[in-house]
Amino acid sequence: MITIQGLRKCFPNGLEVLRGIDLAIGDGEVVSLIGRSGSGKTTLLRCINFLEEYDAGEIRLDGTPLWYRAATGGARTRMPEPAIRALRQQMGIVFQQFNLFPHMTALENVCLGPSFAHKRPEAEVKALAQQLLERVGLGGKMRSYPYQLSGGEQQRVAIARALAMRPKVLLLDEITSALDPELVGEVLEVIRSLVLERMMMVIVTHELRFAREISHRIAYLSRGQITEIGPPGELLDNPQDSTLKEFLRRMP
Amino acid sequence: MRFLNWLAAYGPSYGSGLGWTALIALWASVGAIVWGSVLLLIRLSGRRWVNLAVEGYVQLFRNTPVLLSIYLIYFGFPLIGVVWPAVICGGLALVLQNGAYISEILRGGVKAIDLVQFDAAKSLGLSGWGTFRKVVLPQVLVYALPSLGNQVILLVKDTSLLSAISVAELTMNAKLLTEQTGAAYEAFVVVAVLYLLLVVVLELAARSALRAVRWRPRYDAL
Ligand SMILES: Nc1ncnc2c1ncn2[C@@H]1O[C@H](COP(=O)(O)OP(=O)(O)OP(=O)(O)O)[C@@H](O)[C@H]1O
Ligand SMILES: [Mg+2]
Repeated sequence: MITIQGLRKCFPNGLEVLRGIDLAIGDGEVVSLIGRSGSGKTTLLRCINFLEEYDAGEIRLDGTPLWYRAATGGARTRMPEPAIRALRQQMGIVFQQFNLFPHMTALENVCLGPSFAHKRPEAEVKALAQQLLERVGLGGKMRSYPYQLSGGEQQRVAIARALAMRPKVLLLDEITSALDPELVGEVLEVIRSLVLERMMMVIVTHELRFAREISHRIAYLSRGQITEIGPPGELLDNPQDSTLKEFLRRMP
Repeated sequence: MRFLNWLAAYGPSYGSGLGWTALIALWASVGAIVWGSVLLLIRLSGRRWVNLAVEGYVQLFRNTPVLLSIYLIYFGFPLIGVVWPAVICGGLALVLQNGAYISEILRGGVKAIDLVQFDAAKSLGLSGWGTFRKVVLPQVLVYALPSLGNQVILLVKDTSLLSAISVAELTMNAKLLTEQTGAAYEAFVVVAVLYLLLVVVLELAARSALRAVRWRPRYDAL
């Protein structure tokens, strides 16, 4: 499980994007993050696996504090780089723009993480990668390069690549936003199957119908704070926060 | 007719010069590409004073004649007790100079890499070195292939400067033949043609290497 306490983040230009985030995500739980553009959803996700440094607050994974160590006098220091890498390997992230490596085939993309991180025999890594690609419906496209794949296929490779690390949590940032409408379904189908497997997930999405269907809880982020959180039925059908009401009214 | 007779008589004696030129060009270009990649890695790793040092090195070699480096290494090294064969000294000068250029070329190639790939690499737990080796270098070498080809061609032509320290490569070969036979015109025309052939072969190799690349970048940079 992941616990986030008092997370604050200021960009160097002085913009305070996260202003005290408290959030706990249980094992097997799916939490969707919704909110206006610029409310800090992506930044929060990137802070969780430390693609972005943050200024204050604490993130724990199964009780272990992540990324920073307390130093004397209440200060904190970054963990050593190898420790950070080892912790990152326990989390998977999928980006809006897929971010596949263009010079590697689908299979090589999926193999890269585990073969580098776990130092396992190449054959074992490959077997796992093949299995994952089959699972996302790409058994026939393992030798294709990203430029030969549709957006939906690239995004499924990206999901398989994240899963190959056998992560404890999967962070998904608007993974269908860059896709043509007819390709959205195949990606969401993969996510549904992960929900059934009780994968812990934090999902940033604009697809409220999908969020309602799969989330255990939805969190509404407004100006860097979670102003409302609850089960989809409550939050979407009976919102309390006035900005959330406004936000929902404007959604299709 | 006179030329053909001359060619029949002395043509074969270019064999060893051609061999030396090819050998020097080969080890010096491999060396320069490796050295250029190392300089790139140092520059990307981003320590400020180290970067300044590399920057200074690159400027130094870009702005001085390579013949000067050849002389400095060949005549200078013995002063500090290092006595190496002329081939090694000359080749080293070529590596140092062309490595500087190549690191600049590769740095241009890095700009073609989508920044988001670095996020992806981090999220998979790759180290800086792992990212360089698996993500950066394989792409950069392809993006930079046309310019790298040009640089290697320049390097091949510059091997002729090693004749200044009596390395028995093509140009030296021609010089010696001129002295032996008195036929300066013939001797140097043959060398010119041989360099031309070498360069054409390289040009073709670079092109077919680019054609053999099976991937495409997301934004058509190839
Ligand atoms: N590297 C950065 N430097 C400065 N400001 C940034 C940086 N990255 C994001 N921001 C700003 O921080 C705010 C939050 O950005 P973020 O990407 O987290 O929003 P978001 O909720 O994901 O929005 P969207 O729905 O459009 O993806 C925005 O105002 C954005 O302009
Ligand atoms: Mg975002």
